Amino acid sequence: MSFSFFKVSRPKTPQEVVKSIKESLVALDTKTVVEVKALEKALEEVEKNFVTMRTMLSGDGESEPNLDQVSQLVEEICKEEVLTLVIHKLPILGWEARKDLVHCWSILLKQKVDSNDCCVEYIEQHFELLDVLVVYYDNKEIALSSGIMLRECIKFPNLAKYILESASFALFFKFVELPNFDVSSDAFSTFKDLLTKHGNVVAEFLTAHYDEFFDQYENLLTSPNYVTRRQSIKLLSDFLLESPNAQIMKRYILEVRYLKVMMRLLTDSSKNIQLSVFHIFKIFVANPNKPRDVKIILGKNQEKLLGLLHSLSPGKGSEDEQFEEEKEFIIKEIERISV
Amino acid sequence: MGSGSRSYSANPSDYKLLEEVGYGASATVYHAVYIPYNEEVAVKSLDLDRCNSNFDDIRKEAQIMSLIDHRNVVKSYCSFVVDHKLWVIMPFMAQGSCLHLMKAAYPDGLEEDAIGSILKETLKALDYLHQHGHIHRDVKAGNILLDTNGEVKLSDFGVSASMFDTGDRQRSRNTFVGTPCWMAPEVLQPGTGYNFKADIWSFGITALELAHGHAPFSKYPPMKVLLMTIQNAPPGLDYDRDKKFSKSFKEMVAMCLVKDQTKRPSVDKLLKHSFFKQAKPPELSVKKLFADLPPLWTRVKALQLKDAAQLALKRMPSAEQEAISQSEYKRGVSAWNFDVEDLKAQASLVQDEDDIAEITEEDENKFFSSNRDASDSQSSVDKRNSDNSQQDESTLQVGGNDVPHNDKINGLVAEATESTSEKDVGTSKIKTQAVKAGKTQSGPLVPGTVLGHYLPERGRLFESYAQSCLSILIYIAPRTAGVCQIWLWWPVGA
Repeated sequence: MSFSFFKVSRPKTPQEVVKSIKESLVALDTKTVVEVKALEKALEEVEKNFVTMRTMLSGDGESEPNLDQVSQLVEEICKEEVLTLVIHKLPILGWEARKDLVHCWSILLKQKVDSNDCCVEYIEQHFELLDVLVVYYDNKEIALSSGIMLRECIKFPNLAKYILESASFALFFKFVELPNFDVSSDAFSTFKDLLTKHGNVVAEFLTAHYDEFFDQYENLLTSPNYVTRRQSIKLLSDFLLESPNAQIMKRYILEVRYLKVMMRLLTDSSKNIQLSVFHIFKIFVANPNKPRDVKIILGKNQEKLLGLLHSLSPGKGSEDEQFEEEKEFIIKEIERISV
Repeated sequence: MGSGSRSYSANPSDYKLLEEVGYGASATVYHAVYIPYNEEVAVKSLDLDRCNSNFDDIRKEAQIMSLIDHRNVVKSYCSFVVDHKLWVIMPFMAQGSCLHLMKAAYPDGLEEDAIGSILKETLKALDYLHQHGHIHRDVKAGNILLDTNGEVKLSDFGVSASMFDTGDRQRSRNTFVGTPCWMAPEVLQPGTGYNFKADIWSFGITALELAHGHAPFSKYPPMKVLLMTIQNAPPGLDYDRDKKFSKSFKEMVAMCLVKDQTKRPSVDKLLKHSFFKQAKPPELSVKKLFADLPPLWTRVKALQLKDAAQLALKRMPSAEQEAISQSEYKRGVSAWNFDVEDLKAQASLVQDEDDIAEITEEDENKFFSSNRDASDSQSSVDKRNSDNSQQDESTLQVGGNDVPHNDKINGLVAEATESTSEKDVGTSKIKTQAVKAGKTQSGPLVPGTVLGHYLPERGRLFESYAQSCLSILIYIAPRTAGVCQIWLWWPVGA
């Protein structure tokens, strides 16, 4: 640890701060990375600069940040392409530096300069940065940091839209099943945000990529991994039943293929999964205009379905009045079907 | 450190499970060996199917635990899914929790020098957590773990089932969603939430717990504890038997247990208190505590048997137990939000007992019978919890990096309302039904800010289906089906 850290000196201007951040990041080149000593020193320098940035953006616990300075800092960061640099250098950064960066990231994105989302606009001009963040899920060391940064980005509809449409979106179907729970659950959380935060963006995406998307989604619903099954069925009801997705939902529930998936899940060994799937299964059944093949499948399995539904209950202590009502309705609907 | 730490695989066959060293309704902790390094580890196996809500809380806990790096905080090396279970791999703390230790060997509490060391180490952990924006929310002896060399670590981040928790606490937890003994008064009041200062209160209660062998009010039914915490003077070290404790210890406890949270000291300030200035290093005062004790798993087994016997004594019907352990996941601390007036009414049904310090094991039967009252009223409390969970959730996440933002949520609400009127189903009757539908779908135990807003909308959709069945056709004609596959479909052996 260098002692210059503690020296009292003239506070740097935002321009100077950005300049040193940039220089220290650039110094993390391939040459320094092979030199252990040089790398250590370079990393320390970045860490120090990030602390300065953090203090300037969010205060030091005693004094509030100076809004004027914050604004200048953000503007300078965009101008100097620091966002590109930090994303590319993220895998080499030390643990503390990553943490400070993650902390600053959300402030940076939200900060308006002359009523413009300066950083968001920068990312819009460099969309490939989002792909880089997505791909980082494959790197256990930085997955959680990049995950948080990514979720901050997709709070903005344009950025979420880009990822949905981008080729890297398909990677989520893989990432949500990564072996490490902290990483896979983080990826799932981002996946969920992508599919639920901006209703109209999602509806547009699902309309354009209906077959491809639900094809891949079926793999999640039928995954051997309990957590994947359980989360994906819950998420499906979260976005499919949103009003902007009404047309998609109507299309979905006409498909025997997906009805079968739901029926398979109704027999899952987990009661939680059974209960979640009921809330999608019921729409297939409640549809007043069921296609003939849906009716046939329901009819052929009438007895077994009725038995299953009768024994399905959210368990003691829960508020199940409405559930029971719905269940009764669905049971009646199934009983009405004659093959 | 952090990046320099060794990595552990997410492959269950790399871990050899040995003895059980902790158990709870939905989690079991094993002493295990990580075969590739031939290293002792603890494996906490959490039954995810017992968890009714989504996994956000568990995810957050797993992430916090994997990002933590402090010698007094238990970190997780990694976590992964094995069937219905989540395995969390952690360092093995060979002497278990302080609660454990007291149950096994020090039922009347520890000596002051040991308490001082344990509390000081715990405070260092809290200092680290608070500095990093985390509120622990569940500071108690059952979450303070000890290693054979005297090392002290704070564990468990207040969301998933408690780790080395056992003994009497377990029993009272079974009759309610966690005992509120450690909760600060402001946490129990409606509309307020956890703040860093709530950890200081819990820390003060933990000090009393270590001094007496149990938390104040711990023998009372939870309903009554809630009321006593809110209405009575704060507990302290002022019984006759507390004469043995030093003035500075008593003063430190009194500083923590001030009802007005703004008057409680910060961790920083507390660390400077003379009680901690004099505290001995734990290898001197804590290590000797286990000198003559059998290994942890033997102690655990004995406690487990004792616990089972007591549970059998209560003859709790198994269905009820099931429901209770399911609700265990939302664990008091993260979900409490009580209507005090209603509480009072409920607590008035509970028998009064005079002095906590006087209560002996013989009173247990009385305690059980009054507990039954408390558990009967549980469902009504649950309802209230779910109604307020949104609020709780947002206060819970103070300092988190991915707190859902209000503007987003408002946006969703606006959207929902708009579409309701658009579809012309906006009569008040349907609206109320829709809200009910939302609850059913998630079950009352789901916390979650965003969900709370999605659900009514979903309910409304279903409602409109029912309507459409009657008269209004909102459907476009389905595609005319071509050649239908007529075949019997059902998974074989399902």
